[in-house]
Amino acid sequence: MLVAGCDVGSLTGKAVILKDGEILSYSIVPTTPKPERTARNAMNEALKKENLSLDNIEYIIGTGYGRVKIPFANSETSELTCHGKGAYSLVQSIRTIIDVGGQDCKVIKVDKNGKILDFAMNDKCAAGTGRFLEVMARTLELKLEELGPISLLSKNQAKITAQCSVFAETEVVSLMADGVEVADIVAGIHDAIASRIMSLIYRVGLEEDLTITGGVAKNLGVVAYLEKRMGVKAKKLSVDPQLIGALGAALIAKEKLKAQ
Amino acid sequence: MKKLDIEIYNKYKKLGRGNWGKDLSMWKMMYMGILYQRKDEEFTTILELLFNIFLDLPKARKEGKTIIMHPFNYGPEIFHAMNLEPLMQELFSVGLAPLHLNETYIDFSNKIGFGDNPTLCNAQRPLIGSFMQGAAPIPDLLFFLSTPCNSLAMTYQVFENLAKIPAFNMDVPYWAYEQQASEFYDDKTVEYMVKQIKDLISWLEQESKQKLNYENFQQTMKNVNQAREYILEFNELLKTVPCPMPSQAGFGNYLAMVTRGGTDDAVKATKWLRDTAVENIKNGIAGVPDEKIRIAWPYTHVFFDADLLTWLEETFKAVVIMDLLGFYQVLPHDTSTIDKCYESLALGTLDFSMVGTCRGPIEYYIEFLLNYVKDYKIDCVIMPMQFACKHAYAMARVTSEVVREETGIPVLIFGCDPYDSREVTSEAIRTRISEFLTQIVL
Amino acid sequence: MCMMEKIEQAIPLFNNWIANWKNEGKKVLGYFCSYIPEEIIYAADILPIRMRARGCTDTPMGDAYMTPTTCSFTRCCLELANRKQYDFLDGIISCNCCDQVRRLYDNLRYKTPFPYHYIIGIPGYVSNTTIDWFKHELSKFKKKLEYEFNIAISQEKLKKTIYMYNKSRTLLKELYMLRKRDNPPVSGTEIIKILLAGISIPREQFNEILELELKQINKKNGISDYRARVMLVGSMLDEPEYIGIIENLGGLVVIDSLCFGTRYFWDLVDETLDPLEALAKRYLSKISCPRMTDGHLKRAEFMMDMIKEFKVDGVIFQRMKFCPLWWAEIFMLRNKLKEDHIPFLDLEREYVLSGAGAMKTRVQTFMEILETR
Repeated sequence: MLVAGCDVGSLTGKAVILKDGEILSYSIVPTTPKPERTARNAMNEALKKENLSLDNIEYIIGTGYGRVKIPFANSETSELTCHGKGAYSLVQSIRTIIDVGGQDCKVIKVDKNGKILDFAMNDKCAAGTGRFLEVMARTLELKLEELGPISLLSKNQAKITAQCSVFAETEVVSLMADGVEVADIVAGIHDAIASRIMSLIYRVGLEEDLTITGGVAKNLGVVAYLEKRMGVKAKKLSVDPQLIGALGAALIAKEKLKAQ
Repeated sequence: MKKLDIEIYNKYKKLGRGNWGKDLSMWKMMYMGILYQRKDEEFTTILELLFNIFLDLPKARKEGKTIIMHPFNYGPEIFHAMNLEPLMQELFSVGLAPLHLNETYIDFSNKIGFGDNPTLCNAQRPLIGSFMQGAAPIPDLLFFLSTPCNSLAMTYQVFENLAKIPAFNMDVPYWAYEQQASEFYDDKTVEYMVKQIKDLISWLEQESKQKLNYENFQQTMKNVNQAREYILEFNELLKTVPCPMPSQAGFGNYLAMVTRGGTDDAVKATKWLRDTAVENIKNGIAGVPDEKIRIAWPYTHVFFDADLLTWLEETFKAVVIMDLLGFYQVLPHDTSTIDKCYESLALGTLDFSMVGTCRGPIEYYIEFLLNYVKDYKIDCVIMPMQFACKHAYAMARVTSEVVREETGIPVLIFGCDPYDSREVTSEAIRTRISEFLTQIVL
Repeated sequence: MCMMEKIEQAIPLFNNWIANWKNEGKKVLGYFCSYIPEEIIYAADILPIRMRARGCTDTPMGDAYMTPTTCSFTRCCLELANRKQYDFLDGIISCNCCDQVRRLYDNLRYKTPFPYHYIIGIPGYVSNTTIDWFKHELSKFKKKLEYEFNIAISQEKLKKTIYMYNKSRTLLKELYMLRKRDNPPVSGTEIIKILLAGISIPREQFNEILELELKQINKKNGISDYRARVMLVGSMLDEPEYIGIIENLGGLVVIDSLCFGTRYFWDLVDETLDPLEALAKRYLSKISCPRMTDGHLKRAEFMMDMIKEFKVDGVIFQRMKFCPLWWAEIFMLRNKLKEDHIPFLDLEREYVLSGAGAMKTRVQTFMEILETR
């Protein structure tokens, strides 16, 4: 049985193909202005890797902010449900999932059977999201991938007090002018992100085990600062955290196919 | 300035020791913090009153007195008349603010999902946070006004819901009781208040299982009015140039009336303030030597910044005559009969600090400010409005326009949070005020 | 013109119904809040129009005078007043229902004055004393209206108007009862449109429309393709599109506690009492909104009863950003639902619908949660 999940996000598009419940192929592609095109690019790349075509796939679920625009999807599910399902399928002791995406940030609570109990989202504001890191990287003239490792070198973390990422940028510029060490500024940025994510966690309550998904989960700095604030270590997943949404979608596709 | 006599300081420190009880842990912490902060101040009657407010609560617990919590805009005379122990709720946030401890309880309130700034006023939110942590004194009864402030009414409702204690609501009507306010006048206003007060007394008698002693009641109202006489005089004396008292000295009057109104302590405290003003005028002493700027401050003090006023005095020789709360404006009334006593209580509720100016149309507030500016020879107005205080902040701009038009004096409005130092920092506030005073006023 | 067309016609802020009324030389007064007795206004031959700010997209003036961190509805009203979109009103009746509306009264008078603007003081809790006072306020209001618009409001007229409004209330309740069915014949979106239409349509004609709608809807096949039965609770909502988003995602709104919904019509006025006393009693003690500081237990009880009676699967709370009344109320109601293990979704919104994508994700996830229960 071949099923797939396609996750069209704000910064990347992802696809996961399952064969009899196991991951056969996947892809991560950069986003395009048209969600349909992003979806096709993601799907095609995943298919190509295994010499498959779209007809081979029996059921496809779309998710992500562009989910309604995926023409080849049989139906769509919210990304919260998908992230919950994907993470739980890998580690059944997981109860809290933190998804830090490009433009939004979500916390999902699941019960012992992997069903979603509650969730909290922040999508009105860039603070605490991948976008914030992008802006900061540009301001500091660093590469996005460098931010995490650099933050861990800090000896004297700077305090970024601005709630809003626009003002935080100004604050960073003035810290640079004051001669504060780059590592310390980057540490401050990561702590600020962790703080924003914490306020979301408070809304649903923290329950172990906990894991972090989404692209920003690959940033060691964000993970470290978040773990410090939560006082709890996040469980690592055996699958790329960026793929968890698409994985969950594919698992739901499998269920829906079975139910037909 | 004279320092607190070491003997007196030690005496009060000793009184603060011992076990006050778990639910008074925050209360005790506030007492010790305030005692420590004030140890470099002169030991005045007002300071004595402040320390006693804290010490009276554990005493009342031991004696088994019924403790009734009430808001900052209601005078507790009827509670004193019935030998109940009143607990003024906002003492928490006001007392914790200069110790920078509000932040902990505000964060805890956020954590349990109660409110965010600026939806709900931080004057009451620390109560919920501290209650949930088991650190707040739980009263036996709850009293609050359903008007004029939504945030207060809602937070008390939530507290009632969480603590499950009996509560009584009182309504403050929209209308004026004197004809001169013309279109906003209603001749039944006082009658309505008196009816509600009688309802309150029935409820208190039922809940505390004791009857109101009418002799006590009349004596209490006599005390209240004596205190009001002193405050009236004091307020008049502040019109003198230069102002005989330092910034916000009037806040002591408000503090006395809102915690001990009706008792001998309040009479003593208000008399002392009046006498001090009289002495100062006689001896030619100004509250701020070489007074240059007289400021009207028609909102609350920025509570977390304990040094703001001193900074204003030292840097600009500016005296803040009175803030909105400190400018206690209830007039003394006739207390010769019990009915007159009820009326006096009713008028006290209607005209209490912040209620009188904010319960009705904006005209009440504008009139208050215009009179304040004219009578006290004010040079400029500073309005540090709280973000969450919607009924006040939504008046600020129109009021400043009218004041500027009618008196020509400059007005500064800025947003801040008087209880949480993190929203708008001391530095930011001082920068705004400095710019205003240096560019515009001087 | 078919019924739905007539109803849709009445939804814009200014519409043919209001135009026709004015063409007959009659007056129109805007009013805030379901606590103001419309009957008194209508008995004076004046059309009472519930204030809305439909069509307002940004609020520079509202932000300047009422600050950006306050209820967007009141800011939109100030904005539209400034843009002369309320010029068809002969005046406004305000009340002190909440801080924001109270201060809107002041800002409107100073910045965008209307030919007539009166404010009613409504008590904040229910007792014999406050009902008496409210009766006094209403009697004053009646006299002021009579004086200003030079018209006498007789006891007879008032009684007749109360009878008419009670008829609307009864009909609306009957309509709501149809939604108890497993396949309700009418959606929440259609219901709110009917309720909004009632604002501009003269009461006699509105009752006729209601009777016809009731007959037609009763015969309809019910809606069966929904994912969950939802109760919608919260503040001032007059945008059918908002409810439409929830229902398009499969959340059929079967019952509500809304300003334009049950809180508007659920309780009847007692026709055996003196009219002003009956109005004071009914309006003050009706199903309350959080402004009534002693009403929380009754409000919670109402919500729980409705959940049972209408077989609700989940509750969706919606509150205006920065509203202290609803923030605190929902905090308490949420805790109650948590105790009883009833799922809920807590949505924050601005008066003007925006960011529909974000709302859709949350509602869709909620539907998925309800389905897997």
